[in-house]
Amino acid sequence: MTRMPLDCELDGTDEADLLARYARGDAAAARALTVQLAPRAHAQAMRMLGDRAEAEDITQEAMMRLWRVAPDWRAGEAKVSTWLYRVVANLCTDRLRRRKGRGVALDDVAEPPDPSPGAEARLLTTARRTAVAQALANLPERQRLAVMLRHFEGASNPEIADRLDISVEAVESLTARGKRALAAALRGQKAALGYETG
Amino acid sequence: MTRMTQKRSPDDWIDGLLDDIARTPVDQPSTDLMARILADALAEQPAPGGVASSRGWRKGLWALGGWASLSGLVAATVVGFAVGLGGVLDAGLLAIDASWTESSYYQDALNANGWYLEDG
Repeated sequence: MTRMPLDCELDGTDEADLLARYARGDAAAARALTVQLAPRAHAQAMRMLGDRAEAEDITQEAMMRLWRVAPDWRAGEAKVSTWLYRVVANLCTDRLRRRKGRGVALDDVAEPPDPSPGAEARLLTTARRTAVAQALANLPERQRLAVMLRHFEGASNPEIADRLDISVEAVESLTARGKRALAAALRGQKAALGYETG
Repeated sequence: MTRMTQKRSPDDWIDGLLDDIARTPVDQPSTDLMARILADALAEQPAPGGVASSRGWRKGLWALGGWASLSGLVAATVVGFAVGLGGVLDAGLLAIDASWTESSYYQDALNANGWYLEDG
């Protein structure tokens, strides 16, 4: 196992600088980018997919795309972490759409009985993640990203506007429309997801 | 279970649902995954000095002299065919798409990832 200390020498270095260093053959930059970006990509994929194995596949694939685009990266045109966020979101969306195409429904997820403490809570968490992920996958990309950045990343509207290169007003509109669409899609599952009706 | 104690809109529960998901701890990536990602990074990494990518034919193209040589190679290929000397050229060179550029690779990568936001 390769050791990747969190306090590596390049920790805190700007991601675009790290990517440029990586493209110049700096192995320490490869390590720093992995430590900085892979856990975030994995957490995002876990929230969208709720499945560890699939989240790991998506994380590795997204990071691979980053390595491959690195030599051609044009600094200043996009923020590396935002680019990766969008890659992960799109890969997860593709995965969710394929799941849906295969007919995997909410009721099919996490059915094996688990008598361990907290099993019910875990099932509920999985059900929520799965339902929201499927509903998010059906949103237009900008709505999906605005909602995810706002709620999953805790980004403010100005931060989202900056990351997506749109106005704050557009962020507000996208977030509102996205959540209305989610509510419409999930209304029938409200009680099953642990939210009281009424 | 989340209880909505103050109802402002019939759809406010969506905020609670999203925030509940966000608050749920997510497992850290396994050390095995981190090792695989780093191995990918090192395998894909250009040589020190930023000379080349390790990717197949791109590496070969760089070895042949980089992008500046591409137009000359394509021209030579066309002329070679025209005068019946195509067989002299390495068959691998004929697979090079003359329309492909570094810029288009970058754009392809972004487009493939849905970089351009759809309306919504």
